[in-house]
Amino acid sequence: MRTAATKTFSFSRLDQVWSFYAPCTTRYLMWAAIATVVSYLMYLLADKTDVIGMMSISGTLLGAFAYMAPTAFTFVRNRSLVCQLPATAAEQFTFMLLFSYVAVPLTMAAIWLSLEGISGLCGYDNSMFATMQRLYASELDAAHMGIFNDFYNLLMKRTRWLQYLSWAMSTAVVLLIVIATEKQRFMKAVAGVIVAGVAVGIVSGVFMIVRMVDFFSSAEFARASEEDIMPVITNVLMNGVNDIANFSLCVVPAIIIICLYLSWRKFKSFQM
Amino acid sequence: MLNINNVSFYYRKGFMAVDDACADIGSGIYLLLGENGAGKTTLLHLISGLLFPKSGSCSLDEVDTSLRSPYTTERIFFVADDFDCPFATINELARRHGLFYPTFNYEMMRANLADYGMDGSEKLRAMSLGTRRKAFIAYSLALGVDYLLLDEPTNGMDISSKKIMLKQIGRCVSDDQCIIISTHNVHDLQTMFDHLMLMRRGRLRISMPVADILERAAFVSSPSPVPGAIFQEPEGGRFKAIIPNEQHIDTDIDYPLFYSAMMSEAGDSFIEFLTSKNIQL
Repeated sequence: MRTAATKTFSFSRLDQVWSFYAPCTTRYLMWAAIATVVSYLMYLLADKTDVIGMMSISGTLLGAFAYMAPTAFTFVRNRSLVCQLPATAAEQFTFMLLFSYVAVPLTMAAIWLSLEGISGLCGYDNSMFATMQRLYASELDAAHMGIFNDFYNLLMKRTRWLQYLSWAMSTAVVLLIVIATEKQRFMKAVAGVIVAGVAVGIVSGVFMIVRMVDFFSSAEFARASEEDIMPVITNVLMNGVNDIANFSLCVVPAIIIICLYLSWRKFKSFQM
Repeated sequence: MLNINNVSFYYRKGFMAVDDACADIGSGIYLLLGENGAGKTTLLHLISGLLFPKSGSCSLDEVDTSLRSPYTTERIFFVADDFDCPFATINELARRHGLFYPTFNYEMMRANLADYGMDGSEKLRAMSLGTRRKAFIAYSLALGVDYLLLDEPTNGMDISSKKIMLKQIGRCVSDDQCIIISTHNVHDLQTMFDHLMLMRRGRLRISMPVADILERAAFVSSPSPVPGAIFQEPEGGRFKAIIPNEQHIDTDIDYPLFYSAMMSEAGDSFIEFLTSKNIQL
């Protein structure tokens, strides 16, 4: 019995697409789960030993496996098989989005939360962000820069959502590269994430520089005494954090939308 | 019915890979002949929707194949010359890819694999290129699609495997299915073709049933040059010739000779002879 000529979205075909990609996606989920456990153990170690570098590695590992999820699809190298698959481009692309933005992060979050729950049952009261704040505050104090503690706490609080958006942006960049390129897709995806991150960082940095230049040219700076200058600068920085967070909250989603749109167009129009 | 309507395609401007191709393809076994770089693979890619025509269209029951809707993609399947399977075994391929095709026959696949002494559980990465090709063609024949496009299927195959594939095609392909085989190795499969398509420098020069060709032309062999032959060439001390079939004699088509005729200076007049509606026999 043949299916009717249709361009409409079919959930049964979406299920078939999942089955088609199951070997590579299951393999990736397995590695992501292992990475989550390793990351959690490193975080525990950082919390116990106050080694801030361990915390950074833990976070990097976690983030990398989250936003590199689209690289699971690089294992299917036979493009003719993918293009000829009796499923619409919308169904296949939807599956890629669901895997990259839902399945992988949810799996990693579920494992992390489970591990936190288990730790809690063992009497270990931990929160990753609280630990990070504690570690960075102690580093700032050790460097006699305790005055920046409030600035750092605001930075962490204000940019928390930005970190999730940053992950989403990196995922979108990786997805675009995986779809748009044919060879060495994994390495190009890594390079693409780095370039995108640096580009956004440069744009944000330029924004802050302009902000600071404006401030240093201002009468407020000229009026400030030697005793008052540090609190004034801190106040400017904290206002700057808000501004840059707002700025990034506009730029990063725009990049996500552009990358996803280009990915869709490229996937739909891919030819041998 | 698969319709190729004035399809053209180029990879870069100034070089037409396929130039204004027209054909109506029904059921049967089609041979697609042509020299290297003639555009055979490109044409197969256009038919299957893997390439989008720059002009014209390929359609299956009036549904454009370049749209890649499930209606066309589950009825047309292209088997590439180079095959890279993303799965570990053919059985896994059947389990994850075959479910997209309502006409897939698992038992037929197992029978085809058994002809080569395989059961589908062999690791594809451990196979030679020729063995992988055999396994994938055995699978493809069992898909039961309306249009199966095979690009150089006998490359890398030994003689006995080619005979087995011939047998499988005869067993697996029903009367309402179509197989288009693009190949240079005509000798291996020449007894099975119903239709002949020939491409030269991007142009689909001819697309005709073999029976129609044999109605108009006879393929003969003679110890001396044949007078009035449309085309002839010496081979092994004799002359193989194509002559107008005025006597309505039954001959088998000599594909290498036919190919040589098409590629020669007499090619255009030969095509005109074959396709003329006013031919007097």
